[in-house]
Amino acid sequence: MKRIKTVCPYCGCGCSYFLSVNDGKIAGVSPNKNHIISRGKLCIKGWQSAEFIDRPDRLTTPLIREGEGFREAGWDEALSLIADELSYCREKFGPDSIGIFSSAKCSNEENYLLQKFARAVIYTNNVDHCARLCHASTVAGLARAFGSGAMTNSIPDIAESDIIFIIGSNPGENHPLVASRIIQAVRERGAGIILADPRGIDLMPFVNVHMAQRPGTDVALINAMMHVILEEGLEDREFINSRTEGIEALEEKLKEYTPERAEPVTGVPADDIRKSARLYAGAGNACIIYAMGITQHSTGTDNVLSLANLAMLCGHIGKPGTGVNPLRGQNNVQGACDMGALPDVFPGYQKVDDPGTRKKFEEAWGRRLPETPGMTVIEMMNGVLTNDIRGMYFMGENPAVSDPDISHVIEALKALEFLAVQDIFLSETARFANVVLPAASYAEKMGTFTNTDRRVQVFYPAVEPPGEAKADWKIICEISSRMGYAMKYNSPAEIMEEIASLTPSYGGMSYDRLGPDGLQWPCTGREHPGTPILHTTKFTHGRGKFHAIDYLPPAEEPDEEYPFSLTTGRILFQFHTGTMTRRTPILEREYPEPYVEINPQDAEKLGVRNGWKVGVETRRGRIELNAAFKPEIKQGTIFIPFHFSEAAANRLTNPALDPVAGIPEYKACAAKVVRL
Amino acid sequence: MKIIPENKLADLINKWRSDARHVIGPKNVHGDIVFETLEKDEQPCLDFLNTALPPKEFLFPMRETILNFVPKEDEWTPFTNLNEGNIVLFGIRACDVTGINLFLDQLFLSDPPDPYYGARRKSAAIVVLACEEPDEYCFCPSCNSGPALATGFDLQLIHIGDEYLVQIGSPAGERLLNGLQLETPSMDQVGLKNYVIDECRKKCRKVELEGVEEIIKDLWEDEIWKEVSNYCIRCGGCNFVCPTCYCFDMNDRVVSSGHSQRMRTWDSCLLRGFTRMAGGVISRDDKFTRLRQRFYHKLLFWKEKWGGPHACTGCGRCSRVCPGFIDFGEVVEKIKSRAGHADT
Repeated sequence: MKRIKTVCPYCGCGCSYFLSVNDGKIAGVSPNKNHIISRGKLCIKGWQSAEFIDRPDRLTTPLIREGEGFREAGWDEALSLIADELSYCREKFGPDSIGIFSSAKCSNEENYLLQKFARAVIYTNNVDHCARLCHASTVAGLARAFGSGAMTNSIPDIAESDIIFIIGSNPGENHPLVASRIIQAVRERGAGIILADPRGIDLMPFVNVHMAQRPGTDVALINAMMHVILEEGLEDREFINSRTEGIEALEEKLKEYTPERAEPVTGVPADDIRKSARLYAGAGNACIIYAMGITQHSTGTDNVLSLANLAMLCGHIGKPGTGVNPLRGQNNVQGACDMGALPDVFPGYQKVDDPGTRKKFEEAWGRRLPETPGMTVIEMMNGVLTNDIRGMYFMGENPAVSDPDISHVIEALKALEFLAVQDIFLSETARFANVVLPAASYAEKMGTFTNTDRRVQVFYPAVEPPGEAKADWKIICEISSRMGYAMKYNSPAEIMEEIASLTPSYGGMSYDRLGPDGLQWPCTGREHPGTPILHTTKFTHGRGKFHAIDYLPPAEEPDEEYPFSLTTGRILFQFHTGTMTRRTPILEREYPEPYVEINPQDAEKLGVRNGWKVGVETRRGRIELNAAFKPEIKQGTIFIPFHFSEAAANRLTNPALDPVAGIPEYKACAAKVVRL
Repeated sequence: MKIIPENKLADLINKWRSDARHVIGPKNVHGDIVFETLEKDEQPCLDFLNTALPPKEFLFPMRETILNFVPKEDEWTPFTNLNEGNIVLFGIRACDVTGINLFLDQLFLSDPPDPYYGARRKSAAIVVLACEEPDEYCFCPSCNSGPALATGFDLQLIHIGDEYLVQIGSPAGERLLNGLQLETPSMDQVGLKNYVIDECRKKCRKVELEGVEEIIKDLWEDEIWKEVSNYCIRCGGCNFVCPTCYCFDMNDRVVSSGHSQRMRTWDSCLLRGFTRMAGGVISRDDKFTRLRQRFYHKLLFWKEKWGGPHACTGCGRCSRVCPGFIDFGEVVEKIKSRAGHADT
């Protein structure tokens, strides 16, 4: 028996544990008592994270489409075919006819190589990944307000908070080891929790004030809280004066946002807004924790900016137990963003349209690089149907379940001239591919993941990949070489050296320095100890910027025909499109079927009983699934987990986009529920 | 009783290895102590607070394939080689050995015996390393399961100064020392042994379990289960790390057409699906009913069924592993504070 240190492949907490290996086979999971995040604890997904690795239906050989099905092929044939098809698209339709989806499940090194491949080999900035669908608005919003689009504080220091404001996040289910810190703060410091969520969360017993706002009314709610803070003189003037700019416009804007005016918009009693504002502003240390409930709106960037406003107004930032803390949903979605798997930036958020930056990368990579930002995930999919995109390459993404309005996505996938997918299973998306490449899972390769608190950690190979499967970074190197651009790396550590040389915030990262707890960026040099808390004495871009934000309603509001507000999300036991969790028997046994949460009073009006099958319909599609009564969910709101392709919530969701970040509005659309 | 100098332990381990035994021992891996195979010339780390997982996984693996079969036909073949060879579980703690001797053996070796567990158990030699230092969660003395054992081991090592006192607990233990010239300890060394164990015992936390089974009987409807379960985030960790937990799940998977496998994996009664029945009924759907089940099982049901002690060895792992900081000792105190106040 051997124990191989790894980093969990599920959420962004970044828990470390050991994979147990016996005779070259995965024997189980063993907690790591010596790790700063997990502390010898794990959530149920972590405990079960060994189960999918050796499933018999792992992809073990390249597949090439033949009629309606696939035939097995050798690597050489499959890679040459991809290189030929991509070259053909590039020559015939131009480099921007190719779209590339990188992956928040793959390592930093792999994301780095894939965006390099897009830019240096294909000559396009059309590279993006699922961060577009989760925290694009965080990256955009926090960068504007603070100069850095990431969690300001660290997971451990949540335990030092006196008031924790949770908005649009359900840490008990989606970030369990963050929930552990919240419970610790409650137990050890008597910390209070303010919750803004239309559905209620796993930590309800510890919530002091619950504001059940209508989906998509967050700006109105946060503005009203800030109105109260200013009205009652609870703001931190010293902080505002010395650290920020732009307060005047915000103050002017907030005058009209009284709690009484916010009440009919948000559905939250004015008194609760006042109470929450006082609790947050009056706390010694107060932190804000948020996730998709804030970001996945057509006003996602506005929502994020509003939270930044709130934190700066009260000076609750730059100290332990404070900050604006987006919880990132995928194990390496922070890293994939950091590595520039985004259409407008190189690694380290260096702009592609900045000539100086471009020159630096052109010199390093020895190729001319495209100047204008490329298309987002959503734009690329739309681009297929307008013939702007002809060929696509997906590394481990599954848009046929994860993207909004998937009928439209499937139409696009079918229309593509060429699609290559590399993945560990034949995903719903891979079924549409011309070539499918078998990739190694996290347990079969080495690399680094960057978790939600900007912690870069090494994970190690525990077992050999099944069959002929290969690490994603090796696959990228081979295709690149076949397209005339040699990528020669002996190990991920070598790739990290190149990353560090080009990415200031990763400048001091190298495998020999990434010890038991990794290092948190920015880490700018060999001697730099990493940065647990951002913005301690000044913001990344100098002064923090307030933004005066107006409330805008969701793109689609309930009406007579579609009277419910539909919101979607994750549950504890399943993960995203279910590729891994639905192949894990103990997890699948918890929630094996799709369901829609509905308030029992709403259900009664429809004549529906708990567990009955109902139809849920929006302007984009219809699905059938079981009704699950949930007394905590706000009346008029329904919730559907998006893991189940047999009743995919994303057949219903609205692809309306945030104008800044291009993130779709998964969290609010108009729906109707019909009794069958 | 024998005495072995610290610097001779390596010889002992090498000897076992040359006897074609597979030696499992505590090792430092990335700063944490875990049980691993000790390869040639690899030395165990003998100064450690107990591991995150108990060594039960070497007898009852976290996941194993137990059967290969052809679906729809009445054909099956056992997959596991039931003759895996001899292993030595070296340096495991008294609490964990108690878990094996009194609980896992009882469950898996009772009629009908489990062949997989039985084969591994028979081939395993147990070498206990008595504890010198507890952490804040350890309470083995309250469960009569440590820091050292009176019986139930093949060998037991107790650290005294630069040497280890070796107690021989079985003929198999005797054989483990065959061919080694070891001295007999002096009276002073035996005295030192008792002192080391007593000192450790004194430092351990006290969790008084006696009589708790009588009190808990009246608390089925008590509010404490809801109160405590508020802190449960449904990870199942308390089950997985428990030296006395033995529940498992079975599931079949198709390897290829004509070849399926039956897997057995550790299960957890804190999970909702644990009581999922055909038709979708879940008898313990509310979280507090599952937490209640765990405490009733540990403190009452096991004792009712099998007699003997409560199903706890005082290892403290469930408290350490809980993301919600539910502490076994605290819950026991809560239960005891309800004596005579039952709602029923």
